[in-house]
Amino acid sequence: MTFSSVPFLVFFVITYSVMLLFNSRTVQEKIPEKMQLNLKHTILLIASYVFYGWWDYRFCFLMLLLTAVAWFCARKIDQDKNRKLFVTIGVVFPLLILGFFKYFNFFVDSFISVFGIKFTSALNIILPVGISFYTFQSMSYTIDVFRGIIKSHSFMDVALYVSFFPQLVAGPIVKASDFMPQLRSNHTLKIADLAKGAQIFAFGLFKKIVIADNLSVFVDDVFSKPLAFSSLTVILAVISYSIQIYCDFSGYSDMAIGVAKSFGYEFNANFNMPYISKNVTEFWKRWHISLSTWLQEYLYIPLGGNRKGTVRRYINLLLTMILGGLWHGANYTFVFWGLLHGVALCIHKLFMKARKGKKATVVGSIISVLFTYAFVCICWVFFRAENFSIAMDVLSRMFIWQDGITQIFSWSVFGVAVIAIANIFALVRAKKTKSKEVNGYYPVLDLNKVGSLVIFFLEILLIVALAYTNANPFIYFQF
Amino acid sequence: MKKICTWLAKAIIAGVVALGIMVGFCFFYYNLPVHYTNSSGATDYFWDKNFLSMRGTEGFARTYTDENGNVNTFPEKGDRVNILVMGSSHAEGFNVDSDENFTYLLNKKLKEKNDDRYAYNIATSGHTLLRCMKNLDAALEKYEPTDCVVIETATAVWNIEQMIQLDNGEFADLQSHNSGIVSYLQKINIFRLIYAQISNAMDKEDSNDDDDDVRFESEEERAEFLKEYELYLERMLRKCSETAGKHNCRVLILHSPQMAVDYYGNIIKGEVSEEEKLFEKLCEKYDIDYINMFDSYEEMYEKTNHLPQGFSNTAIGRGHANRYGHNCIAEKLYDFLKRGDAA
Repeated sequence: MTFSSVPFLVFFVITYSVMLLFNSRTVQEKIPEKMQLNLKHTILLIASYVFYGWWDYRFCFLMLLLTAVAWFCARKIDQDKNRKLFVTIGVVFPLLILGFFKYFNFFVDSFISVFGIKFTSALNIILPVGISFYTFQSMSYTIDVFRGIIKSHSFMDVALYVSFFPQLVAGPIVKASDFMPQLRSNHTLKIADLAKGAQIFAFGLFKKIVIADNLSVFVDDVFSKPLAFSSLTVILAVISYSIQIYCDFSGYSDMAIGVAKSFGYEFNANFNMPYISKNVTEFWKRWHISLSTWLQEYLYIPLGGNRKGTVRRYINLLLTMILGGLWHGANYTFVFWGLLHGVALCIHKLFMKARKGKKATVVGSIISVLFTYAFVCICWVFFRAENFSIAMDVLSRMFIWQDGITQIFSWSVFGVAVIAIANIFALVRAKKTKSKEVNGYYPVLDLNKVGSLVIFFLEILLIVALAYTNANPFIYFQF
Repeated sequence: MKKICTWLAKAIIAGVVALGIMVGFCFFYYNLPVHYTNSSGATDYFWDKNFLSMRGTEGFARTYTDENGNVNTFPEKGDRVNILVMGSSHAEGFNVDSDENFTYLLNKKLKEKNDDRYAYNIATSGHTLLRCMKNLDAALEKYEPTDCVVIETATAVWNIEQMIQLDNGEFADLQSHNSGIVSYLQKINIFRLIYAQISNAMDKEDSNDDDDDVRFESEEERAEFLKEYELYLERMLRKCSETAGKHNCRVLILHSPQMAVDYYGNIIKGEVSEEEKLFEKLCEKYDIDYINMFDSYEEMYEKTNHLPQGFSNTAIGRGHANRYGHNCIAEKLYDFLKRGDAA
């Protein structure tokens, strides 16, 4: 059940309708507020497990186990009993689960190839959807309780935090300290929230099934046989992939944010126009913000961050990015992708140190944006390619001019145009409002006005008219 | 309550305005004719007559239909039809501009070479070779081509059940939904597009469930199948040859296969199946001309890196024939006609 499917629409309508019962006067008068809150959480919890069980009900037990461990460890930490032991269990247990399901075969294969052992029967392990996301969330809860940022919560609350269906399978990774306080609020369903949520959802849906899915046709073709295509086509395919992955993942995040919003929950934005970044550091403040924040708070800083000298700082950065790369998938291409970003971050830090105090010119800024985008695109090649050999073939085609099938894919042109217009719009708006921060979040309209309704309906009709109909799963589901 | 009613009224107005804007958008993106049952039987149906069609979902094409509802726009029409083109959507050419389909290009080539012959295209979507065989007699009766009938096909292997149906005269016509509310709804391009999108998505789900591959448990079973296959194929081609003979014209079957390339950009040459070999052999036996476009397509690709199928908005090399494919077919057909003259 993906957000862009009919079963999800039915699931949403049912869940929303049940939650809507709490808006009735009878329920509000007859049921005490605390009980209402508990009932609402129970309904959302059941809905979340149904949502997750739709893929494979067996993994609901895995999620339940992770929840139980996180809840138990946090309780013990809160009771000041062996705090260090329980925080260790609360972190190591989810990592072991993640390691087994996601990386077991990868590590076994690596071991076999390093030592040249002849052994072929690795375990056939099914990767549970969204495991990387909810294991990180369960760790976040235990660590936040350990750090004293939040108090331990009831089992029901922890279970809802770990499994809350809008962010369950592909993020954004919501920190316990951001989510838990929201559980105290009564979350009465409001039409205004539904209207806002629906618009954010529709934007995400457009990005996903109109832009990303249509681009996937071209990108898949070129990455499956790069040597058949001309250099120009391969370059266009790499640019297309940069747009595809952005629209796919940020589209999913928008949908998650929209769904949560309609139930009255707030998630922070996960993307903010990443391709206008002037350097890699800025890129990571705009790309997959919830992951980069998580890695910074729960990995980079505990490793010592920049508190233990320059060399350690760079080692910590590299380690964080390599592990961040590995988080995306059990393949060396992801590790290398993370390493490239880590190296670029270190170089940028060194560069900034050398240039301290100097202000960038407009031309300099434009060159920086283009250079950063080109670097990010080259890194995407390793992210997208199935192995190093294909990645090298793609790169060789990009840099050594060759003839071949030439395809100027019209959806690529459309995608580039949409992203360019959105960026220009945001830059102009930032200039108009004299805001220092360029904010790529689209305006939410007042659906009480006819004009706004026309725009909203047009958006829906365009989504139906232009959608790619050979359903493609979300890229980030595999992570 | 009043608030809800006001909002609903606003929503209805906004919905109508949005639909209106989308109708305008679809005029340039997806404006297709409606089809009607063809009583002559030359095809199962014909399109809206003198209709400007726009299609942006597979290629970007502007196509006109003529006074008979066929895709023919060559300006200098002949006194009579010399070459009749039958076939499916590949030959129909709704995915390329009107002056880029192979019938148009063949006419242009003939004109350039001062050849008076005129080709007329009645190819219609969904008219596979079996369907054309069903309609052949009626088509030849109606258009009376003096030289030949070209039947385009995208495959040289057919479903045996359908061949049996054809043999028994039970091969059903394609239905036209040109009455009742559906006929009105399909005239509104945005509804047509929404319907197409939904049915595409449903077809995709269905095709995931279906497995049409015929699998055989033993060599004997396969041999048995081929024997039956040959029987019905032979009956079909014999009947085709007799029908053409009755109308004093030759039959040319033009096979336009789907081309694909491998990792290094070389054309993939699949193994020729027993069914295809049988087809070629039986065509020769019944004096039916047969052109397989594979070699010509390969030659074009080697020279220009152009594949005959696929568009700038679809998977590379897949789908309907593009303008390079149509051009290649037109060249091949012209050469074939010229060779026939020489012989």
